[in-house]
Amino acid sequence: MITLKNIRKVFTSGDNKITALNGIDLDIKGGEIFGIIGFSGAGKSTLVRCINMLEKPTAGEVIVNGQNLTQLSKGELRLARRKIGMIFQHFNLLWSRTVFENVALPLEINGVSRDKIQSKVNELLQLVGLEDKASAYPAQLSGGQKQRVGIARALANDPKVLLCDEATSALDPDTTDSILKLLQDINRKLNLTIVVITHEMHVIKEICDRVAVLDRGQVVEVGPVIDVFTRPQSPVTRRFINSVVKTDIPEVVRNRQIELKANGSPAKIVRISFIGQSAGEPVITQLIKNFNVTANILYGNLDHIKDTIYGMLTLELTGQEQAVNDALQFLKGQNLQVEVIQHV
Amino acid sequence: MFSAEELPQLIQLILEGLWDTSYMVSLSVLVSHLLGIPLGVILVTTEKGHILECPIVNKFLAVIVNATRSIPFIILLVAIMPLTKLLVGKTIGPTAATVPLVVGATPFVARMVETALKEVEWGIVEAALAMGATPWQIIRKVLLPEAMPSIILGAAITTITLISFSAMAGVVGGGGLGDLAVRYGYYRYETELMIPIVILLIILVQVIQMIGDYFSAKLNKK
Repeated sequence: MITLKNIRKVFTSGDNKITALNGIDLDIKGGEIFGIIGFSGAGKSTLVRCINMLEKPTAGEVIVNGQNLTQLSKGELRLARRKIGMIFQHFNLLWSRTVFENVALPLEINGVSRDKIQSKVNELLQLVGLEDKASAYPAQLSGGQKQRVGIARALANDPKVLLCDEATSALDPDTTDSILKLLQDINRKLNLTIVVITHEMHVIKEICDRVAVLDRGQVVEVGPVIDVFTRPQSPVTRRFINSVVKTDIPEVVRNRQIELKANGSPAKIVRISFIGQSAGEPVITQLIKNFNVTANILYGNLDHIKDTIYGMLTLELTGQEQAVNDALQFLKGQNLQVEVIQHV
Repeated sequence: MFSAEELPQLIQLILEGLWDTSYMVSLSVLVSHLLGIPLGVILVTTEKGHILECPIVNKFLAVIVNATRSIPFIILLVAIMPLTKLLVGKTIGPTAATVPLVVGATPFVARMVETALKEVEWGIVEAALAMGATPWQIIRKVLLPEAMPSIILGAAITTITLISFSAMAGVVGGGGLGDLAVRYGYYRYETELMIPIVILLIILVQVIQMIGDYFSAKLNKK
């Protein structure tokens, strides 16, 4: 649905040249929710603006729905943009228009007749659950309601793609979740391709199918969210995962390790990740029954990534070296993601 | 001092002045906005990075606007007499006075409108661009309606400024309340006539400001 080929964007101010995007290649499939995560300054807002050409890439190609946007005339680009919806962090609604009139704006721009506007806007307000706010002004709405208006407005011309630029960053956690749920509903109901830009791993974890991690204008990691979560490759990705799943070893445990090592009975700290159905199996019980080791649970967490159950357990294994190694071997054979954290 | 017999004549004089002032000011407010609003829109939209970016036009207009605004009104009044003669066929009277008033007020209006349009958050313009709006649609459906409360406040300020400018139009026989106050109060020391005129002017300015505030607040949904 969306193909980005070697996108570069260089901002020039006087003699200063800042490379915001440095060779981005991405392929976003039709009907998926694709997340782009990065810290501020990573270039993610610039990247999403390249998809609808609000920012013209310095080099590279943007292909949306089979159309190469970088080669279109101004008029053709305007027509193409009517099929690409966009929502914003600060909603960007018109203060002088009611909710109804705000949602009607893209239809007016597209030259839709008055009767059709009336029925389409009502349908959209129903979809986002704001039928009763049609004649309210944006200033009278809460943040979450404003974003719902933004979503209704973005969907007015039946776009194929919805771009979300930090759409939940200005909202509280509860409202964030309700907006994410709405986006997920829309994705399923309308089979809409959604691109989500965010700095919150929570957002990626809740709704995205695939994710790209952006760092200093480059994609450092891309893949299904579950894979990126369980097998992060880059330090940036680890930092993001840490923000939602605690994986650091507390200082106290670290000191204890040093002590144990000095006493000649070293412990191994092991992180086990469970995905999907393996999360339901009694692995730890088997481990203790079958091997002469003690397993001390340091930290555990059961969570979900979109619709997949995902668990993580940090264990401290002590015992004879052979027994510990056998136990590890057993764990690795259980279709689990096992990681020995060597830090002493 | 005025005698009792003279009173109806004085009232007549004041009413005529009030009419002339209203006529001159409202006509020049109207025309200066018809010219100034498009000029303000062009000043904003031709800026770098805006929807009709065009640095040459932008610089050129900015210089013209600044130049016109730097000329003292009294000089402008006399200097453009040939233009006035060309446009209205004479250089004396309220209609003739509107020409310099419009020339003086248009760049002022343009800057007011420019400031008002710049208050519209860029994000809103960006949202319209993302919808595939044409520059004209953005101006008509986004920029002007969003800036309207500020534009109206600016119009009230322009109107009040034009009332005081219109007093100077008396120099070229423009007439009006201000002219009356200058002639009787300043040249002839007849404060009995000047005081009611000044009070009338104060009331006029208050009323205009109130009307401006009212409509601006009514339209402001922010």
